[in-house]
Amino acid sequence: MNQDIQKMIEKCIQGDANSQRALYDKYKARFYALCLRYSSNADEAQDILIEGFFKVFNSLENYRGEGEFEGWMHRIFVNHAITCIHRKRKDVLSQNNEREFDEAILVDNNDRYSSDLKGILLRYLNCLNPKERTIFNMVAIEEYTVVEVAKELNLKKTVVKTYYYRARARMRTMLEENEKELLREYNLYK
Amino acid sequence: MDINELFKSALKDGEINPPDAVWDKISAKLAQAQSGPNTAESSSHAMASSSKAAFAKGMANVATWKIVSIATAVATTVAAVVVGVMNTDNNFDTGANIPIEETPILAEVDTADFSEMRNLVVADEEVRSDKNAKETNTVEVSENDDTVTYEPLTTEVENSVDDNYYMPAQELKLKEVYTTEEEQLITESVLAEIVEELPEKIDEIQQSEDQFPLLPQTIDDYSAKLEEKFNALLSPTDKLFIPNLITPNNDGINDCFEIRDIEKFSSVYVAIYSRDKKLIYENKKYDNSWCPTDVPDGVYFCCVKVSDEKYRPAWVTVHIKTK
Repeated sequence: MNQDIQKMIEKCIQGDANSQRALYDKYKARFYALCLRYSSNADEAQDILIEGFFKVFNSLENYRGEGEFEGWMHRIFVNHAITCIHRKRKDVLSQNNEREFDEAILVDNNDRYSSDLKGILLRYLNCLNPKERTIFNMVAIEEYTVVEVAKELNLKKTVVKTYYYRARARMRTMLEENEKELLREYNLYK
Repeated sequence: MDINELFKSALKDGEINPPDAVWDKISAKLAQAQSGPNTAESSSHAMASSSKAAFAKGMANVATWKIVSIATAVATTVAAVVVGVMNTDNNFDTGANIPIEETPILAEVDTADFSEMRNLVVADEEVRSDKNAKETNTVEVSENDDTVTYEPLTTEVENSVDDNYYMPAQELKLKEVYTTEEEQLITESVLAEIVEELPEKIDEIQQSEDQFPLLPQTIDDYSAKLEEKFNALLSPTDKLFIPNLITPNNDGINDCFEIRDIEKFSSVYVAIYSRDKKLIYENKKYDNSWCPTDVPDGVYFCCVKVSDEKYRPAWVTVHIKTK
């Protein structure tokens, strides 16, 4: 298993298009899901996916075989997603329209995502504002500690905590308003 | 189940297939990069020739600036090393006190930009020297031929170094944008911290109890012991139940100033005073016989005493007129 990946990586470094395609096919679904979590719509997620894979192919030589390859890729994608958010944040701040809960996005994404649990949760996750979404992703889903997130995003620990609690509270109210049955199904409705 | 767990179970390691068009874009990008990084760069920047020239000029300026800065850095370090070697007997300074004018390379370079840059270097040196001063701030005290060195706490030194100083300029800018937001969040964040740390503290207590288990002890045991101790402190007078409201209207309920279990004591002294300190009733062997119908409504003060002990002050409200 590991040796297969090693061979694939070596061929990719040489520029073999077929093995590049194979590597992409192997990981595309996993990392597309990740990108969807960190972005506010599917287009944005595809952009992150494209640039992320481009980065991965360009820096394959730097992978020294320490740790799992998937973990290494995961790291690149998360970092890239964060830089994309930083890039976007400037526009958001200049326009001064930090949205709290965008109904339009929810309706817009309705058609694109599947109607199973995964799709529903992703839709609501995309409605959060970028900062809260990133922190909620890192703390709640990927189980980073608050200290690690604070270091990663260059924020104070207390600020990270605040954003996290806010994101959670907002997610809760959104789900309670719109998805009562789903919450009841998982014994979450109060 | 928590809302976090719901998200984690649904979305962590979840897989969603991207549309096929994505790979085409990636492969196109890779092909472009392989065919020649220069063409890709120029197409992405897409600059006009005039602006390109300006850009090149700017780059040249930056390059010269960099060379000068490197030269000064080299010069100062070299000078520092030389001086340090010469002054090995004295306290070794890391080049903080060396005047920059003396270095030969700097004497030759004399431009307008240089003065600005020198200020920067000087500021840099000052900060560094401050830091060194803090780190080497040991106090030696000789006592009975034994030298005792007090080293400053390392944690303090770590904290005292200004984090902003080492931060790149870009990140600093980002941080400035957030300061107002952070100020807004102070109260909220403090609350959040308290809420966050409560369960941790409870866990800590739990762990310490696991390490040093206490004898099993219920609240009932504890309260019984407390009651025993408390009762031992009380005198018989304190234990008396003295009513604080009587309604002498001959309806059979709370008609008299009735002290409970008064039969157990041989003699109970009771004196009742009105609010203007007039003695209204006095009995050395009280037998629950004060049922006042001829006094006005109001608060009365009473002194109760069992045998030779101290007086117990109390008060009672007399309320005759029902309805």
